[in-house]
Amino acid sequence: MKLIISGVTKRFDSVTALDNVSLEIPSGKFVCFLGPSGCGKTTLLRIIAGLDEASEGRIEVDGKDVLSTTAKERNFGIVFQSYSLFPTLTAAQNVAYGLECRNWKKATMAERVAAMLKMVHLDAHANKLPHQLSGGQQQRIALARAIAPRPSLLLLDEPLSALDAKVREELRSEIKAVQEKLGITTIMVTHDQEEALAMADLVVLMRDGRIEQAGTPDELYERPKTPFVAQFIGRMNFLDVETDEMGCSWLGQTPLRLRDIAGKGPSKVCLRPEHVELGAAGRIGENVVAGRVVDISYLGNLTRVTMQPATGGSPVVAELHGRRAPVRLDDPISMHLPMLALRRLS
Amino acid sequence: MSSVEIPERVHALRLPPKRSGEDRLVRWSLTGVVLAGLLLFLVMPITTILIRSTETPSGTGLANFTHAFASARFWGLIGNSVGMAGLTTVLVIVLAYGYAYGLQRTLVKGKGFLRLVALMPLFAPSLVQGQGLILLFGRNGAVNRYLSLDINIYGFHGIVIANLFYAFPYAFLILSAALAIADARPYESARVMGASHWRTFRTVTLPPTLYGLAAACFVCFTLVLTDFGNAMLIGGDFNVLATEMYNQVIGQAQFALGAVIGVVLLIPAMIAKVLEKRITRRQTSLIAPQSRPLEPRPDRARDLGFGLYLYGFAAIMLSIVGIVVVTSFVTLWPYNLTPTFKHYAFDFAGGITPLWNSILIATLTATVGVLTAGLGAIVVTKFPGPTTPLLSLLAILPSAVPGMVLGLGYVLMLNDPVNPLHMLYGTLLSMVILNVYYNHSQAFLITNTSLTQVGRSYDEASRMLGAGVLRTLRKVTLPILWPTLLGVWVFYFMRAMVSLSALIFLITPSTQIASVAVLQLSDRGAMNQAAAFSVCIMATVGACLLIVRLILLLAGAKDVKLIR
Repeated sequence: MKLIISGVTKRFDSVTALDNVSLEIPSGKFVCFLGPSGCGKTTLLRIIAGLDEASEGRIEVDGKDVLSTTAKERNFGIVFQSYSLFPTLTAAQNVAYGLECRNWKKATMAERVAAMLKMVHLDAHANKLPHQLSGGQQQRIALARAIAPRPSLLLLDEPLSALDAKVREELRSEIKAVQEKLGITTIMVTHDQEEALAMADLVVLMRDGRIEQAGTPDELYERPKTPFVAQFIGRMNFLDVETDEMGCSWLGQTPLRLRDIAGKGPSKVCLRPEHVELGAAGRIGENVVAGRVVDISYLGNLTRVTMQPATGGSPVVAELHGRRAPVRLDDPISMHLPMLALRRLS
Repeated sequence: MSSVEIPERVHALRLPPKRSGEDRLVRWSLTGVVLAGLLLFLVMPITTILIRSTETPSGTGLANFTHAFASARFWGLIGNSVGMAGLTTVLVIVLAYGYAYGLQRTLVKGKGFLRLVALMPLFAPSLVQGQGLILLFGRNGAVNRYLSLDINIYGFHGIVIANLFYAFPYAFLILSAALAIADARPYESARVMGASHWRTFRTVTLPPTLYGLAAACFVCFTLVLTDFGNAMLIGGDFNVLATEMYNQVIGQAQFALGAVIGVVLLIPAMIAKVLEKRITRRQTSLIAPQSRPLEPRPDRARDLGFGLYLYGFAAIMLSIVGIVVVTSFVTLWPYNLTPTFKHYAFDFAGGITPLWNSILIATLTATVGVLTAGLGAIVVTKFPGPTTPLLSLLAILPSAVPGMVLGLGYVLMLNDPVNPLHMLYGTLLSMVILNVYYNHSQAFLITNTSLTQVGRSYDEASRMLGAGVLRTLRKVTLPILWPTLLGVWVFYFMRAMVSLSALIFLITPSTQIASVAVLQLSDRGAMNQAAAFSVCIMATVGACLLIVRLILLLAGAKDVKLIR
């Protein structure tokens, strides 16, 4: 199933929640709508689901326009953040709900419900009411319920946000596994970049009702197109660089060799903290900047060291993995900013 | 992942040719039914009053009003009504605030009992206070008889005291809610800064409850201004607008003048309602997510003081009702106190029929009422459309219409032979419908709140799974909502059993009801039998509350409030 979104706009009174969004969702892929709150990701999902109406635009499924059809007719499955299991129905009855709506035969329905419960490892809890289940269990039942009627598209609206960190990670891999096994086209909305990178084949990063950048997790992490993308996904050093008429770039008083050439004037260069190499104070070489340690955050598996370059310019953060780094506050050190890791932002 | 074989791949999307017609049909027909009901049985009777009040022998005009307002007697009635209602309101608010404060902010023992006593007037016929006061302080009352005093309870003081107890539970409920939730932090700050009790009360306790206070004032004022039962029973020669309206319409068939008084009562009620809404809307949420609920701290002196007040007041309220119960079981109050059941024989014309009529009406009212209010709330919350604002306005309009005024509207509307609804005239069904719409606001709001709390996501989940509106209602909404609906059933049943002023105009010799029988028997001087009728009404309501509470407990629904 291929989903084509073209020029979808949603206005609430004076606010434009979605501004001319166009996107193609490839068949069988796991797509994440990622972005800060208020970026329009949930609105877009709800329009695709048929729960809200678009002000303008078109959504096509396999060449047919679906915006004029009701939610019921689209045959999409949905899982909400709030579980939304019907509180008076048992787990099994919840899973059977969509099948009853489609007038399935009793026997096939029972079979399907059992298979679905088994798929989410909750066959032992079939007759429990939602309030007797934990949050993670409820969300797995909600997933089973959404998938049971064989939807052509699975929509997940922040399905993991209400769960504890541990359960969240478990369920993350479980959802991904189910999705891969069924090959069902899936759209998930999330504000958690880690979740998006871990689960998605395609990440659509949104901001203020527009798509900022869409691509594989790799592309977004390694080749962010805008400072917003660079900042939102992972951590990033932004360095203010000055380029002279000779084409040489300078970080304060230190010359910096860059891959991409630029004209005279100021520009922004970005660099992932994990690419920065920490060195001794006296070290000399290309793209080596000397300075003093101004901040150290010890996070267990990694340490973040912030250095103020001696020759001026923006502070640089380095991430060191493994054991605690042998530096202390105010130590003189140097940092190597590898040329290949430096990207000039347009 | 498990190794279960899941025999499926992506399925082709099948799009039905057009939108679901079933849902639209359901929406429009239900909306139509709700709107029609409100227009016929709420808007039409009110409009009828307005029209009849402007009908004069010489055509339409305001002559009835100018005529009425030209008479000093009419101004006297207005003065009586407003003075009585004003004084009663002030007293009720002060007493109820203290009572609610004692229950919410002190550690007095026996709060469940005290709360029940405060709410007791709600399940007694609305003139039981007058009845009790007469039995205690009337000409042949216990006090005058045994203490050889000559207290005259009839008149202004009698009405004020009777209505004070009548309106007490309404004020208590509002103020109790206003005092129930509080953030502990400002109280701690005040204590740390060394503020005195009085200063803490003035600066921390009182301000957040001002809205509740204002709302309680408006509610009580309207209630007392338009109440009929106690004024009729204990008013003596002191006339108020409500009794005047009754005398004009029933005694002298002066429908136009009755309608004028109806309009005169309707206007302050409407204004009070609008002001109340305004004020409560301005109240923003005082409880921040990080606030801690206030737990009263031990304070023996305070608890002792409030204990005395609470139990003292409760004792008075109990004795007023208690005297009615006692009277029903003695041969001739207060002269012959030999115990007897003979007053429960109801061996006079009409006999016990009014009680059965009342129970029948209450049962039908409750059942029809739940359907009507439930349907109204469902239509308003689930099917938003162009008529939604009108529907929600009409649904809560009854709270601004005094029962007596609506009742007058019904009788004016139904006794008009041209009106197709004339066939309802003089039937129990007309009383059922009146009860349903008179109490519609509260029933609607209770259901509405519950429905809103059920949340949109269940509806959306159900829709996405392919369910239509009806299936969602049947399988998801109603199973969640039924305890609330049962609560609404009880509310309607209670109100229908005890109310008097709304139904007083619709009574015919063949359709007597228990609360009116109490009034008529008292009027005739048959105090013991009137008391027996009152006890029967209270017992019926009490039994209904107990049974429903039991059902709810067995079903595991503990959070449903039954007394409103």
